[in-house]
Amino acid sequence: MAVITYLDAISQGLRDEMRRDENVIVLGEDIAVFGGAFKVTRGFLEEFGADRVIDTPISESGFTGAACGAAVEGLRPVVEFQFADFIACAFDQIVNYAAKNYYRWGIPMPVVFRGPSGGGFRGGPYHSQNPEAWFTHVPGLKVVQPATPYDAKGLLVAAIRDNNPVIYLEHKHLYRRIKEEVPEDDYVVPIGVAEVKREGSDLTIVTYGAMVHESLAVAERLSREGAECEVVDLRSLSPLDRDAFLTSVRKTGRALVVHEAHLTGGFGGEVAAIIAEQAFDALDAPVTRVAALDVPSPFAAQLEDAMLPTEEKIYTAARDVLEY
Amino acid sequence: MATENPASFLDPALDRTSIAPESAIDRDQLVTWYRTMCLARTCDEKLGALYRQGKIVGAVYLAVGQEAICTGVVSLLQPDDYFSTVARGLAGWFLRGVEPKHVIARWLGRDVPPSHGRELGLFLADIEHHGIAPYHNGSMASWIPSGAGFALAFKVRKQPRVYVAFTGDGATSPGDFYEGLNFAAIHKLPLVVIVENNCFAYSTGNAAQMPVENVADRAPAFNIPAEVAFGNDIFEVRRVAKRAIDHARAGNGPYLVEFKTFRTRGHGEHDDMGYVDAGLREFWERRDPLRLFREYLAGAGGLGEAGVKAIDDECAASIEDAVAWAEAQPAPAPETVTDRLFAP
Amino acid sequence: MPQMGESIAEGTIVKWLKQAGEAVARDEPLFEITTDKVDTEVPAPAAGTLAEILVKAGETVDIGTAVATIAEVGESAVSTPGTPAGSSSTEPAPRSAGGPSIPSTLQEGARPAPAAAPTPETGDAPGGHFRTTQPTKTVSFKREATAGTASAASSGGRAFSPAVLATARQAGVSLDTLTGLAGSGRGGRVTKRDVERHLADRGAGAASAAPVAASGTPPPAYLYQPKPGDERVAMSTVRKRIADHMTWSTRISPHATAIAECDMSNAAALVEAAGARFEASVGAPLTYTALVAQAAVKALGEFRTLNASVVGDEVILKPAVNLGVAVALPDSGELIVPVVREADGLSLAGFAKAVKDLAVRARSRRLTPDDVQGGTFTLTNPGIFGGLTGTPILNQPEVGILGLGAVTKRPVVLDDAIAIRSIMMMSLTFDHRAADGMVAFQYLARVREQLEALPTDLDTSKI
Repeated sequence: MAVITYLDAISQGLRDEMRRDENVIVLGEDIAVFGGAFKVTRGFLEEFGADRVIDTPISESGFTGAACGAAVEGLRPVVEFQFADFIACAFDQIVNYAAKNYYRWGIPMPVVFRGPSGGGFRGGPYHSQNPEAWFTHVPGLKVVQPATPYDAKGLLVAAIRDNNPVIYLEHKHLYRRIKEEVPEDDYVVPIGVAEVKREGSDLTIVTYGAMVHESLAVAERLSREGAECEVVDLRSLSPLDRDAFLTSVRKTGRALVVHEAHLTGGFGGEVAAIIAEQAFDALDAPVTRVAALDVPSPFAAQLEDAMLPTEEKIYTAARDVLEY
Repeated sequence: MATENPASFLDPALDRTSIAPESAIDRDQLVTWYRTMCLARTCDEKLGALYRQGKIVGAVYLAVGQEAICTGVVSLLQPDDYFSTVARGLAGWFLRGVEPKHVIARWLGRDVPPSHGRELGLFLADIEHHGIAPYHNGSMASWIPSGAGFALAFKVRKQPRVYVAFTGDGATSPGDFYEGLNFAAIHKLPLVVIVENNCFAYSTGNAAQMPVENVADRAPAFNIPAEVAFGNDIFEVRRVAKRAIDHARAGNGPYLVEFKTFRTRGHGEHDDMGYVDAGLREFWERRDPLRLFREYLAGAGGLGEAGVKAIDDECAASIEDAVAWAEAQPAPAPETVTDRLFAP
Repeated sequence: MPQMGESIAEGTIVKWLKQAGEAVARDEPLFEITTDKVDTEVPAPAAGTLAEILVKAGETVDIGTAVATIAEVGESAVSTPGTPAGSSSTEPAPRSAGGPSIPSTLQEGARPAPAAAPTPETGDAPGGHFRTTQPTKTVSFKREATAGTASAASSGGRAFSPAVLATARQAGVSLDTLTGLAGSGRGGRVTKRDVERHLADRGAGAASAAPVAASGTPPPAYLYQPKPGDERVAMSTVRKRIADHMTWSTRISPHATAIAECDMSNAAALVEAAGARFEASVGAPLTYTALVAQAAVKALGEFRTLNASVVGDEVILKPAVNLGVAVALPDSGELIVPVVREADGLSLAGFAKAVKDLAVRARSRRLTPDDVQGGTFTLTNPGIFGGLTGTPILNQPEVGILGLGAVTKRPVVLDDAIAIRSIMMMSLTFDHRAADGMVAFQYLARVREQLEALPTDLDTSKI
């Protein structure tokens, strides 16, 4: 097993699936000749040819709709949005076409929408967003958000093989920052299954995406101070593995929900509501959220840091819940 | 008041009040097309009645006045070609084997496939049985991109198949129209766009919708061929559409045809068309596609009045049977509401 | 769901004896339940039609949960005028004095009673006129009014989290106690940990009200990891309760077992000589169990620390002996311990009858909750399975349990000669906090003396 980056894991999963199944095609802006803005598809054009690695015009709704149609016809398109922010341009095709198609007609649509998401590197308002909650609100879409190279590859393979539209949000900040041993073999991380990334008895931190790493760092720090946090990485937001975090909260009696997306209407609200509804009697402290402030992602470092959840903010909130 | 000057809407060179094929057509084919159009007309009128009786709830949208276009175009398709249309292309569905009883049952919200009560009768997708590809209905432009996707799949697999998107004049305004055609044109995909220009996007006339006289005038932006033709003459529809389909099938890329026509009923049956002036209605009444076809068939077509009336009567009886069947179908069970959200 | 015992929080519907739509008479058996204490039938609280089953068989619900609605007989009167009215009482059927108590009042702090809601405006004598304004009744059993049990979210200005309240409720910790606890949370808030710590400190005394699931996960090394090929059998409700009880009992009490031999030859002779007559006269067989029970109970009068409970720093001596007699249920192999009340007042015939009655009712699952509560000392009989002896686990909160081995003929040395005698081993497990070995062996000796001194025949006309 090689130690590879999160980005390489995505690239590897995509390449493996294209080798395995000729129905898998990729399309997006600058992905063929240029190899993608983040180089996820570097070398793909040479290996798979222009019929399967398609540079699209700057036309998100157009190529998203095309991917949906091709998926109905049996191809398994993987659409790359150059930045997840731009997925807004394709919103109608995703939420009104892809999401509802199977419910309406019983006709499967196996399409994956990859969205490089997330902030923390001064991308400003249009290159930093975390749009998962736009899609978790829509029945018929699966939404996944891997935090580690292993999960990134396994979830991408699972998404490509899934017969439904899957929103696959990959965090740009993890691309080259996180490395892990990843099997070169074929494996799948099943969609809809969370993972406990660290066990603990005193506080449950429910999180996903980049914040898994911040949360683990906080757990480590708190452990040195005598409190054990259980870090539940949701991995999939839809379908959601409720049992994973409910079981944990029933054990610890305390829950902190952490994500990088905005607080209001964020997915953490859903998690908090489920805990309140289904684990009320287990709660020994209020369910608490740590999320980005409700402002657009600002450019200047001082502003972006003030806006994003940070390890320090998670730590403070965790102490608050633990000491309640 | 957004009334249209008929002369400016329809180039007098395209206009006609009688129709005939350029060359002889097999009589069985003629009867099939006429029966299809007549069945759609009869079905639509029945749907209007059911709506007024309160048996169809919500809204009902009819295709009256536009039957020649879809009939003519679909008559040119190969069995493995795909097309998408809302119920404005009802006759096209029927020509591909969709049964009126199923359409009516869907309008009544009954538990019949493939939607099982999840969609209005306005929409239908059934690839397996009828080659009708699924689309969504944000606007009628939204299936130009997905149509390009079907065409992309044909091209990637090197299959000589085409996808025909039926859409309307109003649907040439949203971005999807451009994005879909742009994508298809870049990749020379076998996509045929049939624009049924029926004068109005709901209540808003062409002049308030677009700065060009014809939808086809937009085609140069995509460097694709486009034509304007009279949509109420089934023979003219077939002549023009054949060029388009052949072009696309040969790998030359998309083709756009704009058929001028007129919707003689409201946008839906809840719309009394107060925005259309009497002169325009009269103009198009004389050019009703079913009437033009009927006059040809009863006359030069050789069926005679009795022969045509026999078909009319047969359609009327068949729709009555279809309604009885549809009304007898069960409603979907409430507990099925969460079924079939995700494909296995 | 009726509360079958003061510490019971939930019950499981085993079977509905009526289906929705069927007529039910007042007090007619309506459904069967199982709780950790008892399995029983619940009779209909009112006459009428079973309108709706709210809790299906197999489901477990908290006590006090409405499990069905019964439409009053009068409801059908709209179409059948003149139908005589049934009772319109909304109260559960009253039980006989010995039966389970199902009070109609809510405990303090619980949600308010539904204002006896659709009560008829006028006195509604049985058989009197009925009202159609009250179409359905909710079968609603309410919790016992144990004043002060934690159930409100706040008291005296202190707020408690759901976890604290749930833990307290399960363990029977009162609201007053909670309010008095020193909290380790912010501003002195009581946390779940605080309650758990309190329970641990309270020690064995808490056991009387603590069917708390054994908490704390054992070290992984102590846990078996199931492997392919293993058969996994889910524990039944009763099995789980037994497992919990045994786990807790061994945690709460330091167990010690004293063993002694007893010559049962006289007892055997007595049973042989008078057994048939005794049974004919009393209606219950003369058994070793009855004989030993009588001796054991009598001896407890002398060794009162074995008829006791430990609460904190005190040993609580009980004024009477309520003798639990362990019975194995033949179909499930499960164990139940019905109680012979005030056993110290019973004659031999009384013991025989009580033992028979409890065994019969236990095996036909007709015990009432009171039958299995309030024991002060337990008799268990591994000997009936051929066992020589055993080391029983205490039935909390009791401090003594006497196990009887099989009565077998063995060669023993008697007056320097070898004789064949009927011998039985007795094993007394006792709570070493309450008593020491001296008391245990003295007690066993006193039981033995009585049994060995039994007459070899009985004038059954005088019993």
